[in-house]
This record gives sequence, structure tokens and C-alpha cells, in this order.
Amino acid sequence: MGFFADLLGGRSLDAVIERARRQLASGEFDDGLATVAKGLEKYPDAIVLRDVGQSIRRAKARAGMSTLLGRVESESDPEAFEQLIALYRETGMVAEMVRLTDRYVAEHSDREQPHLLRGEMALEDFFADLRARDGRLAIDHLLKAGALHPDSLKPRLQLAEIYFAIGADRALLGQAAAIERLAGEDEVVRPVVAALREAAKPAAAESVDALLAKVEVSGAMLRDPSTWSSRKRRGVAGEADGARLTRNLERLVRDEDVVEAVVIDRGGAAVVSVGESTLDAAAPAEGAAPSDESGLAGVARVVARTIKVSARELEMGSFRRCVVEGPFGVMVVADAAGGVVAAKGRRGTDPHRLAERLAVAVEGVRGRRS
Amino acid sequence: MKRILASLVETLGARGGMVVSRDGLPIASVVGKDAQVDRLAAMGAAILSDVKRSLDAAGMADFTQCEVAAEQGKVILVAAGPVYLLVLTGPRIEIGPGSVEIRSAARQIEKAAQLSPA
Repeated sequence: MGFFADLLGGRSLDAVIERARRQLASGEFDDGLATVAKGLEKYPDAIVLRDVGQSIRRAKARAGMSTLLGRVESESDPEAFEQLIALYRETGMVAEMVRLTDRYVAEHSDREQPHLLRGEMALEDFFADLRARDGRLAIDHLLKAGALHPDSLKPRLQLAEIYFAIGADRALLGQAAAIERLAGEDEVVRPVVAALREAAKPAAAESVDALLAKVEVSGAMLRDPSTWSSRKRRGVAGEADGARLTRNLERLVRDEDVVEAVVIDRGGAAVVSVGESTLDAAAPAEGAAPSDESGLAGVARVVARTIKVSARELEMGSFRRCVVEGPFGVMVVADAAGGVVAAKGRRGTDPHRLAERLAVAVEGVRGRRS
Repeated sequence: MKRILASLVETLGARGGMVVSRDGLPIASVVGKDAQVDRLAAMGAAILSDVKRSLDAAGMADFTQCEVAAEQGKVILVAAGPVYLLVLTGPRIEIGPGSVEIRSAARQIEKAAQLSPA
């Protein structure tokens, strides 16, 4: 062992992981993150190394949180609010992040930044679940941010995203005019303004709330803003994330207990499907409508569209996972960047173990909010 | 059934418990002040109708248990003969559908449901 370790100069994957873990244990977080980043350049598919990196980020965040929390409590310091919100975001503490942002808004309602942050979060939630309430919250905060800082481009672009998605064309044209005024000469912004103007077909009367409700009821956006905005890159179907996720799921399915894995994006479409489909296993039950998708894909879609929303309505916070067991085996559906990722194991599979393995497969592509 | 639910909720320190029909209709419930019966019932109905429909369409048998975990709690749904037991827990309770207390309550509810008139 010593000979090989010397030969490889500590550059094998095991050696890199070991070094990163040592740096985590001794509190050398920045060095640990540098080790992980360097290791991932050489071993981009190393799930364990990615996992160690996430542990280091969480440990680093925890170390900084108490100081920042103190500054928030004693001084209501806006900078501390923003740093702590960013830390919560980075470590996936979504409920804490939203609560702190609400408090930031309440304590600094005359500043643009808290409204912008809260508006962005609500916008993310809207594009994930298509709930009218989130859309209205996003619009209110982004309008307020725009009113507090009339020369700020960001809230205008985000308002344009949601107006475009729901078909609020009259409001969209208003934002397009504002965007043009602020950055009409910018070569990146100019085609965006042109695309917005081309798409907009304003009706005589327009109710944004009615359009939001229509999107919630139909479960689909009128138009996909990813054609001109960066919205698409945040989903599970993003090119880099999607390729890595597919590789991770293929590896998961190679395991003898896992028979199938799928990824459903925020719009309900199956973007990845690996392993054997359970569709051919049996005919539909009597009275049931025949389906051209597997049971796993169907259950994953139900979780993405209905159960995630129900969990939030029950004030259970952000959805984590759903485990369904029966004579067919075990299905685990987990959250993944707005969509869901699901795996089916044979009968007797330990659901917690399967959930853990799925979480590791998704690690690095889940919970990205920007 | 209410007595079984009350005992289960107290033992687990859960936010609420409910017995629902196979269609998702509430039959009995014991729910704390911080939980909303309607929304819990809606969650149960969504799981029972939509998940079952997906399984049926793929020719798969009914599920026997389902656990929805979120940041601030869990919803656990366990088959109890002709009905289902639904439990809503808080964020700090490390229990699942396989917990002794839940399995025991499900057995008692199954017996009670079989004894009660249709």
C-alpha cells in the first residue's frame, strides 16, 4: 500500500477523499474545498468525493452561521441577513432561508434587496409548482423592488419571465419598455426585448391573478420562458446536470436491487429513464385507463404535481421524498431542483438505503436555486 | 377508532392521526391545534387516488404504505384492512411506517373496521 501511495503521490481518488476528510475534521474548510475541487477535475464522477465536498460546505456554513445570527439578532445588520440567507441557500436549509428572508423584508421594507430576494424565491417556487399564490407573491415583491430602485434591471427581467410564462402580455409590454429604457443598447438585452415584443399579443382587458389561476389549474405555463431567459438551466434537465444525473442513475440501476429510475422535470415531462420499465409487467387493473408510462414514472409525476404541493400546504416545509411500498417493491421519489427523481427497488429492498443511494446520485444537482 | 388514534398520537407526540377510506374520505380523526384536518385529508386523498391510479394504469397492485417526508414533518399512510391509517408527525420524530406503534395501531384499526357495520 505504502509503495503504491508513494507511486501515486497521494493522487488516487481514495487519497484525495482521505485528505479532504482530514481537512474537514481539522476545520480547514477552504483547503478541504480546494482539495475536493481539484479532485473533481480529475474524477468528475466521484460521488463520494462530491459528498465530502457537500459535508465541508455544510460544516463551513455552520461555523459561520452563529456569528451571522448574532449580528442579525443584535444589529439587524442587512449584510449579515444577506450572508446568512446565502449560507442557508448554499446548504439547502430552505425553510430557514425563507423565514429569514421574510424577517429581512419586515425589518428593512424600504430596501430593494430583501424584496428582490423574496421575489426570486417565490418565483422559483412558482416555476417549480405553478401555484398562483407563489406567482402573486413573486410579482408583489419584484414590483416593490423595482419601485424602490427604478434603475434596477433584475426585477424587471424576472417580472418579464413570469408575465411571459402566464401570458400577461399587457404587463409584459410594460416591463419590456422598462428593460429597453434601462439597457436597450446592451447586445444581450436587445434580442430579449425584441423576443418579448414579438411574443406579446395584449388583450383588451387582462387580469394577472386570473392568468395565474389558469396556469395553476391547467398545471402548465402558457409559454416557456427558457426560450429567452436562463430559467431552463436551473432545472434537472440542464445539460451538465442532466448528463451527470443520467450516469449516476445508470450506476444505481446496475445495482441488483434497483430495477428502474426516472427523472421528471418541473413541467411533468420524463427527461431521463433508465432500467427496465415496469409497464410490461402486467396488464392494467380492471377499470383502470391503460397507460403508456411505467408505474414509477406515473407515481413520480403525481408526487411532482400534487404531493409536493400538498406537503407545502400542510406547512411541512420543503418536500424531501416520498416512499411507496407494496407487493411491487419499493418506490422512492426525491426532490431534485424543482423536478423529482425516482427509483424502484425489488421487494425486500430497504427503503431508507434506497433513499440514501438516490440522494447520493442526485447530490450536486438538487436544490439549486440560482 | 378515535380512541386508538388518540392513543397513537399521544404516544408518538404526532401532530395528528386520521382513518380514511380507500377513496380518501375521512372516517375518524384526532388532530392537534397546529394541524389542519382538511389539508391532511386532502393529502391522504391525493395519495390514495392519484398514486393508486398510476399504479393501476401500469397494472401494479395497490400500495401498502406510503411515507411523504418534508423539512418540517412527515405524512405516513398505512393500509389497515379496508381502510388506511394516516399519521402526521412533526420534524423531530424519527418514525416511519414500520414503527411498532403505527403497525400496532393499524392492526387495531383493521379489527375495528371489520367489526363496524358497512
